[in-house]
Amino acid sequence: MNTKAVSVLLLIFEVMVVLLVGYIAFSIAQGYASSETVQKINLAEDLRLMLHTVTGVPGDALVQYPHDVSHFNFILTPNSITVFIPGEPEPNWVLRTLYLPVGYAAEGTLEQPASLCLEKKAKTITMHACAENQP
Amino acid sequence: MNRKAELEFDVARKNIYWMIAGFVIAIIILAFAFTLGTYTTKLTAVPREISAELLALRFTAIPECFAYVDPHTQQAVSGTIDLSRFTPTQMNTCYAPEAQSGFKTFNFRLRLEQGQQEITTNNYFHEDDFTLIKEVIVYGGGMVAKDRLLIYVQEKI
Repeated sequence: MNTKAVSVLLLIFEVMVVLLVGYIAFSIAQGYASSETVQKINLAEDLRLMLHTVTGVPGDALVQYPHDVSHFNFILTPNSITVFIPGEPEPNWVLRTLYLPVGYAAEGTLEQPASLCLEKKAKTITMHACAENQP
Repeated sequence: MNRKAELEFDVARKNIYWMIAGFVIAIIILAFAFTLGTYTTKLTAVPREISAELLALRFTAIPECFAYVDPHTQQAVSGTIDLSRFTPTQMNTCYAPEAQSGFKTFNFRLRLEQGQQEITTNNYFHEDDFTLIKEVIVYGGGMVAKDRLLIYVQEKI
């Protein structure tokens, strides 16, 4: 092969590698540093703590999450609470495991709700958008 | 050195350089991602005592755990322990992490200070990280007594 041509190809390769490394580093930084990632984790942790608290209340209870949740989707099952941004791939969803007492049920799916309420009635905990006069 | 030899040497040198550089760049990117991940974890950390305290609320508050149920109102009385419920079987109803991987989460050993009864969760291995203390009223054998519930917390192994 013509060595001069190979040298030019290597130069192009070097430029492409530099650009690629820059892009990858920027993507990683953007992914981790975006406030939405931190918000998602904080939301999932807060809801996990709220669910444990509601579970530990004798009798019925209704509690509203006191922040804006309108950018997120939520899935509550008896074993987990999941928070994610609409359209994002599943590996980026934030999931927190729950251990409810035997016989307890937890359910609810919300898509970008204006507000979020957790309600415990007997042994069932439901997650729903708050009504205007709730809680 | 003639021009052609110079070019050949340049190509060979760059090949070796990029083999090493490719390895180093990969390590740097992985280290960068790991550092940012650690930072995010620290940023969103919840104090373990708060998590354990809220999880432990249920022990003395609901009848599926150990709370006393008033026979007249059929309501659980918060802050109480019914000795007839203070059993390993009831603990499995109250809080039971997965048998295989439950050691990665909170596990508890509950002990009544005066009563000496002690029960544990299914993945408790006496690796206590800290202890929570609750003032409780104990109902058992027709008696009512004040006691302290010591909750030994094993965060993860």
